[in-house]
Amino acid sequence: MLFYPPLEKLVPPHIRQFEPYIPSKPDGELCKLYGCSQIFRMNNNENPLGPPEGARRALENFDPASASIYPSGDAWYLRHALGKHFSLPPECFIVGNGANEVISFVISAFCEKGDNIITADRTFAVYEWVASFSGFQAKVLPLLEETFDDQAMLRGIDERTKVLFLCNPNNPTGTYWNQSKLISFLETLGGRQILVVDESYGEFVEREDFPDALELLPRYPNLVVFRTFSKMYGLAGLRIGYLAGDPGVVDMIRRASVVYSVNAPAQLAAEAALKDTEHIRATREICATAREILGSAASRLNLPCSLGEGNFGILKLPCSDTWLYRNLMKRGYMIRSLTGFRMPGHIRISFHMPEVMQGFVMALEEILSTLSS
Amino acid sequence: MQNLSSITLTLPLMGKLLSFLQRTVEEASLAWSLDGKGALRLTLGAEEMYAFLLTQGKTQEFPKIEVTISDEGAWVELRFLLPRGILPLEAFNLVPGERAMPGHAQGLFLAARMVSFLRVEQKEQNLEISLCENRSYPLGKTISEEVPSSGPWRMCTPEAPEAQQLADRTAARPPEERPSFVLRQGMAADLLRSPFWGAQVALDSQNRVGAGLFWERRGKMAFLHGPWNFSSSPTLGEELLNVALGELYAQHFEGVILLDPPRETPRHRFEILGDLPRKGGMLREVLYCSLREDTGGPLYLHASLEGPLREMTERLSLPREVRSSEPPLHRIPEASALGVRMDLPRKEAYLFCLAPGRDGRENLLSHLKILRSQEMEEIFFLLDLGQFEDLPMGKFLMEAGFLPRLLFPWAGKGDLLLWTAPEA
Repeated sequence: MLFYPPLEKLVPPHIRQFEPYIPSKPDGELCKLYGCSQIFRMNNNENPLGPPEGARRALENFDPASASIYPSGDAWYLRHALGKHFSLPPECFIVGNGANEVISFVISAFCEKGDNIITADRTFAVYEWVASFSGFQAKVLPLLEETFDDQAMLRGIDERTKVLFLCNPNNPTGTYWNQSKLISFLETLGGRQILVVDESYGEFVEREDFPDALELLPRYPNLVVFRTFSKMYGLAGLRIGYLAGDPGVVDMIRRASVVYSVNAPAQLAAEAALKDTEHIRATREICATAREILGSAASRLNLPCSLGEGNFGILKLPCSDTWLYRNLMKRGYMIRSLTGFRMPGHIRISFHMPEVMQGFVMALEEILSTLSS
Repeated sequence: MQNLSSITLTLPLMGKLLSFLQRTVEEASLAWSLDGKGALRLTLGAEEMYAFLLTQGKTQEFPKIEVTISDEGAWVELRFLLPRGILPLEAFNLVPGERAMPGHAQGLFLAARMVSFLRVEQKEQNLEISLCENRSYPLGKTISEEVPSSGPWRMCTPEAPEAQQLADRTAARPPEERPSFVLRQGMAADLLRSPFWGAQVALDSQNRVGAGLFWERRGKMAFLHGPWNFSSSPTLGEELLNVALGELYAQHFEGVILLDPPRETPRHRFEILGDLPRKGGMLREVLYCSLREDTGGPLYLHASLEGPLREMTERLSLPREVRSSEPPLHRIPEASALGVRMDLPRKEAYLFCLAPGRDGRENLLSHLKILRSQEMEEIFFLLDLGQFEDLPMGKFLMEAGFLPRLLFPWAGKGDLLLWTAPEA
């Protein structure tokens, strides 16, 4: 006899109400389904240059035989390299399987039943998701003029608020808090809650007033900073990111973290990538060109456009974003429709090589021309 | 706004407990503000259903069933949760003959005739049958003047007074632009107490509703009513729609369907799914907005459907791998079973496949006959094209004279194909 588990009773309501996230299929499958010969991924803010040269060499030199050995459980060498790079003790760092994993470390470490976190409506959704499927309330506050609303965040704090998340610069709006705004917020917060500043796109920003949150760590021990190797460093396929904070705070987070979750090639590649400053310069140059191509196309097509900080831009459409997504896919361009970021009618385009950006613009123009007919 | 309560009974299926069930249903119905007639109808529905279950096949002596009576806002619902085996699928086959279960044609439909709504659903290892009785409401008022304010607008889920105000303002619209519940005092606010309904409004500083919309959950789809713009700000309806679409995404809907778009609908935000005949023969355009990036999937089709379906998926640019076949009859099980959702006030019924079978055509025709005898004016069939097992039903639907009309992307396990029944 088959004993089927009583899922309605076994699974908590806050999990049952969730729909599983369905990631996109591999390129080969998508090409078959959409009838195109190639897919240009402009949806995940990946680096079209790929990994830095040093990281490539580290991966080539990885001895396949050592795949049978567990990696360093706490990314020992990488944490020391990060410490040296940022002039902080290695105890300030926890390396995770992508920034997504360190988000759950922080929420697990600080929240218990009845607690809440604060985030925004149009930002990276994983803060909200992790809190919600862990059974905690996510207070999702509207952005103010496309930027995190500092006053609303402060007003939103109650006695059960444990963590506030700030994505700086924000994905997908590309806005940011400058140094003085961040410091002023930390001062007002007065160390009562943890402020996470997610700087996944920080390396793309060249503005002088953009804060380096790592430099603020000694003054504000309630500050936790997220960074990733997936974006600027082109190692998205290896899933590696990290958080940094005050050693005492990090020691608490470490209690809720999973060790051995970051594989050995990822640790080696990340360590090598840190040293490559030329890669950052070259990537920024590609972003500048892409920004120019997208901006001039938007103005020619009369589409409102937001080209903030980061390796992406936003277009406001005269049509449904998910309809445009399907039609761009048929032409081989995969963008991010923003209904899922509570911005229906908008798309986010990850910057790519100039010829790909031009191809995307042509496809967009062709599709939009069908609207009038 | 949800403040609902319910009573759940776990009952051995014994004739002696019928009067206990009747008393519980009647008293709960009255406690939750059904009027005397409504409480009586739901009690009679409970009696018919229980009696029907007593006549059906059982796997054991006095099997246990779960009965829940709940206040759902604008209606009271009686839900029977039946472990598999208590109600064999043959109970959902209306073809006369040797296979027919005793009293098969009367049971479910007699129960349904008593109440406002009947729903049959398969849930994991259980079968769920719900009977719902609507509350009655007096006629409300209408507010027709424009909201002069230019904002700032606060977009939010309405509380009861704002929900009523939205209904009153909508009531001033012509019938083809508004649902009938807005004419009833208090009904909108009660509907919003149910998880099946939602709303969004734009309020000015004096809490006047400048724009608003309602939605109704039907599976993974939200059926939208609105957006209506009552303000002098021309873009307010679209701004509100944006907030609502983001909210609906967060609530895990796949897409939004708009059957009766008001004049100010920002149509450029929707796709045209197709046409559906109105009562009286006119066609109405059905608008659709997907909330998700389509990652593609298979369509299991009977070969006879391949032509019309390819046209639909190509027009909507849906990435679908068409897997069509024509299974030989001997590979199809003998008896089919059909589920039904009946909405008596709307005179609308939806059929769907619980199990395909060689007698699919006859079963469809028998269902049509009984539904028409119950004065259902609009009868639809929903075929899940993501469900390989249901593939043979396409042929039987064509043979029974049903017409494939609209494709609702990802509304079921895969896309749902909506068929309309042949003219009587």
